[in-house]
Amino acid sequence: MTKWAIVADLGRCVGCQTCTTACRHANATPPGVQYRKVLDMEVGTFPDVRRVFVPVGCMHCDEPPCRDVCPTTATTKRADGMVMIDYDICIGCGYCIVACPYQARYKVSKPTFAFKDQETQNERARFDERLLGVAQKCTFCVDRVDYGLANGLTPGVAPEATPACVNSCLSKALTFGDTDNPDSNVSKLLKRYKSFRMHEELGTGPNIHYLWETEDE
Amino acid sequence: MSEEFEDAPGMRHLGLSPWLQTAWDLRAAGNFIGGGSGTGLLIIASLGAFKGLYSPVLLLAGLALVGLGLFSVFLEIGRPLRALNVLLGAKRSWMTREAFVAAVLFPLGLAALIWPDLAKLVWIPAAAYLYCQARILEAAKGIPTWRSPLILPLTIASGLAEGAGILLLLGTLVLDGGAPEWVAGTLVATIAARIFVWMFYRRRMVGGEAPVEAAAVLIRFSMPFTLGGNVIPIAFLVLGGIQPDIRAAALAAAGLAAMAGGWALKIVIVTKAAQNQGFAINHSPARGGGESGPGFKPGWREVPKDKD
Ligand code: SF4
Ligand code: SF4
Repeated sequence: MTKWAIVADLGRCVGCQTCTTACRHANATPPGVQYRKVLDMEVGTFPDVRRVFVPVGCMHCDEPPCRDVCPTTATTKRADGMVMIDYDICIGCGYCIVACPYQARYKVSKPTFAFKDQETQNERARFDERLLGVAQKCTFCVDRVDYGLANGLTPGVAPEATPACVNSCLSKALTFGDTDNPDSNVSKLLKRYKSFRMHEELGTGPNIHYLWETEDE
Repeated sequence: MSEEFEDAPGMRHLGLSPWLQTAWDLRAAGNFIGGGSGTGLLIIASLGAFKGLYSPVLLLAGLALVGLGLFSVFLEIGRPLRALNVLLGAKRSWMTREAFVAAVLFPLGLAALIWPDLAKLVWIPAAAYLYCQARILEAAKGIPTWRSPLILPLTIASGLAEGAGILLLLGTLVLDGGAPEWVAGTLVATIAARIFVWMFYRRRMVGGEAPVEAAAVLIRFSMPFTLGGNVIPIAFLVLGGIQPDIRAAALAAAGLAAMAGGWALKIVIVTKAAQNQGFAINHSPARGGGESGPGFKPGWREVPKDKD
């Protein structure tokens, strides 16, 4: 089987928000909607204070509560682990938004653009009316992944087949790949370094893994 | 914040700590208010039918409340023309199941207006509906105050208390001789159950199962709720018992207060103590050859563990 996941190396992320920007460009998300964002945390108390940048977004959970609550079956999980929303079925009830423990879903009811009512060229080109009044979120750039697979490319290795956020990461903090394949880029990282997942105690099985100790022992 | 951004939840909340969810507002609370009170009333009235209680007004009031609740949630959806899609998710979603139960409850309730014997069956779909409502909240894993298993008995006990309260209130208005004696007893029992579960629920939320801010909302609400929604109704019942000349008014006031307490409870839980999960890390990373550091869970009392 295949299970797509992102590995985020907390030691490498510099909080530059390039992934956030790349995602916003790729998806032309309206103001306030960030499928990918990077949290800026200040951890500890003086004198031991450290700054940590934590990329978050839809975790494409193994057991997604957003899917379980959806009354319309608009939210589904593909065999390869990607959690999708069918914008033509969704009624915009917002149930999935309160069910997601990662604050990954958004709903926008009227068109909004970066410069008020003036859309940019990119926003105009990518505007999709189907997204109004329904739930929306990160898709792991499913179009790119599917395009890559259809053309014999390896997602996470070939840039054309890799999510925009991962492609754009200038410090190589983000890696995309198949955790079910023991030889994949992500599996190797997870084997080699210590990792955790966010809110794992909730039983959602999130598929963003955070590396927190990448210094070799 | 400019008006154009009003629909953009993330814009208003870029913090790390849990923030108040904005996806469900008073309209969603309205579904739990109407559905809870309506089914509570229908359950008690329907069981009362075994003791000879039959009143079309009570049946209609119960159905109207459930209907208003459903209408209220209809107003919340973003694509109302697709509302029937809500019937597709029965395999998993308690919201779909609620809609299916409604499709049994309404015809049966209306049929009981014509054939009074059917009133004895109405409690079955009404109880199922109330149960679905409780499960809807419990399945919302992103909101710690909703996903607690105690939300099940709390929602059910409050629905029954609200229903008993409304029966007492309406009874004084529309039933000859007022509501039967046992209704006051039912109100006491359901209020006792509600306040009992509330105490446990509040304790668990404050003890660390909810973000600090959500727990603070529950703490602030606890005293007015305990007194206004639970102690005062009992006091009115006692007053009605010892002062026969104001009995009818006291019973109606008791019912009203018990109902209002339940409505306030739902408004608070759905729209005020509904902080989301927020974000957390179990470890902060080693940087520049240094040691890795502790975890961080902003807005919560507990911090994730430090070392593996
Ligand atoms: S992170 Fe949220 S939206 Fe994404 S799959 Fe998990 S529950 Fe669903
Ligand atoms: S908003 Fe859409 S995707 Fe989310 S639960 Fe409702 S119908 Fe499903």
